[in-house]
Amino acid sequence: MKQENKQNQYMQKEFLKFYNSNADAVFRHCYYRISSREKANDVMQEAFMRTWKYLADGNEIKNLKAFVYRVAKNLLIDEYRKNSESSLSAIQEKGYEAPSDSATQRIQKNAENSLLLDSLDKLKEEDKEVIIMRYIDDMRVKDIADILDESENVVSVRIYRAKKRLKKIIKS
Amino acid sequence: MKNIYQKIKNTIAIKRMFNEAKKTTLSNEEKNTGRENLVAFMEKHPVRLSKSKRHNLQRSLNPISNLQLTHSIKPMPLLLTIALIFSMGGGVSLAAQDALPNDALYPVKVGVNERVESALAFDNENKAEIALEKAELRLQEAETLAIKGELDNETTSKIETRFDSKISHLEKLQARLKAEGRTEAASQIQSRIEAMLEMHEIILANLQSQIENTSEENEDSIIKIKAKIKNKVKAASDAQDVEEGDEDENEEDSDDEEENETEDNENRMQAAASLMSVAESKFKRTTQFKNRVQTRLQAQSNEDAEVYLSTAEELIAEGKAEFDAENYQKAFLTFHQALRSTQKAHSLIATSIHLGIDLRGGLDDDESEEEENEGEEEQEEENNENNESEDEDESDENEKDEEGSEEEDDENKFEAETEVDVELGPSARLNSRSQATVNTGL
Repeated sequence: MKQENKQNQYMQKEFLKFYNSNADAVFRHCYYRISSREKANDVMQEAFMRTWKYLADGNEIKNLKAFVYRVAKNLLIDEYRKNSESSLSAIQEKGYEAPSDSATQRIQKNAENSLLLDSLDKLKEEDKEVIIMRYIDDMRVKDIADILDESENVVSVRIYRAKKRLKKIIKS
Repeated sequence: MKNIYQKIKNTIAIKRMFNEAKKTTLSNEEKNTGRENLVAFMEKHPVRLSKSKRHNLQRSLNPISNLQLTHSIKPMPLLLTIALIFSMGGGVSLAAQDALPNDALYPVKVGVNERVESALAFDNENKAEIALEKAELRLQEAETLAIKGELDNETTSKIETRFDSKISHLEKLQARLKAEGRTEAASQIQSRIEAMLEMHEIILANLQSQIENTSEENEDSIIKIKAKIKNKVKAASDAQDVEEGDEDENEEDSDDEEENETEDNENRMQAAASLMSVAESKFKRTTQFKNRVQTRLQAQSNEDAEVYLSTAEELIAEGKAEFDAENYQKAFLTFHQALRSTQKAHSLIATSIHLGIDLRGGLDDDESEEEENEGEEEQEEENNENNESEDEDESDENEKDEEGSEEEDDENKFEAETEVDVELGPSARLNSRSQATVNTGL
């Protein structure tokens, strides 16, 4: 029992280290995917929790970081679904959130930033995802391939096409 | 020529945009809160494995240091990045060389990764558990702010909205569970939501009486949130009443046929059995949770949580006796009571740790005027149930494997059972030293 506790504490410590060094990145990724700080924060937290639960249940994860992103990806899909389920409530929510932006958030939403957010919003989810991972999260193609469970070739092509489309959007 | 200038301009603009984007981070506060939430979650879901499995975990975690290396990914030199985005020449053909047949480009994501998918295919009960925890976190966040005196109208309405959305999410999940025919799962969640809410009503009352020299806004906000919780509790129990009424009617309808009756009994037995295992496992986990955080738990919280837990333990034993006597309906209700008591212990412990202050669990009879009327009503109900179940108490004593202080527990237990829902007044001790630990994490 005591040993188990010790073990548990050790695992928790390791996992917290992992959280400390990755929370910002996962959050940023989510933020540019759903353009809401609050929801992004929620998704980030839940992604880490679920990953922990998966580990605690005794499963092995080969690439922890890729796993967290995958969990986040699925949660984001849930979020989209929720939003499209009742677009009215989504609008209400957005309308509600707008005035309550914190100061930092307002600063962050300067002209350039919102141009990027807007342009990203016009991309298909698939394109948005790879662009964010590649150019905002600064991931290597190999890491992206790991997360998406695709070959590096497929990912490269996808990035290429996505950036072509992004470019078009920004130009217009 | 003009085109080239335009291209360079664009390039610079994009470069700046991505650079800006990379600066987006969590605030320290957000990161710390997330960290605390994660710690709380890890404590609730400890590693419980066989040795071989533990190996897996270590293997997964050990590469963390490697991961950090591989993932402190070297940012691609920005100019190169931009060049890649915008060059229509060489970059194109390079990427095109690697192009796969079209269908591979837009793969239908069937088998993303089966293992991961199944890990994420949380069923609705699991989802509800997490939603319950999140709803509670919302309240704990409000309470943290209240302690700091930073709860203003704006934040309060924001918290209320978020809390509402969590609760309505929970309701949806419950509805889904019912649709799946898993009424017990839905009802065990319901019991725990109610217990959790009731405990936070108590905790907020604690804070109200403890926080001194605070702004009116802060105080009003606490009252608002408390009122909100009260409404939810009431709405929930009203809904429950209606449902129970429905069930009764159904029973009457089917009474004519004997077959149906045995089937009903069978169903009741199964419902009671499944609730029994839920109650037992929650009790066990909460006890473990308490043991793990014992050193950080302050005296009063510890004592009151102890009382709730012993009450739950007795109720479980009692429910089992009813079960053996084939009083499934009664066993079912008793297990519900046990679950509620366990949940209260859990909320009390978790919140006390989260806030870093000592809390009273609403077990003794300090008078709190504004809550008195409601308290009385609930107390009456509570007492009726106690009378019915008191006979069982003695015989179950042997099953207690908790050592020591049995007598004391018993006294407390009596108090607990009679006063469980009575609102409690001034008593949480705001310990400034521990308050300082609120944001330091672990």
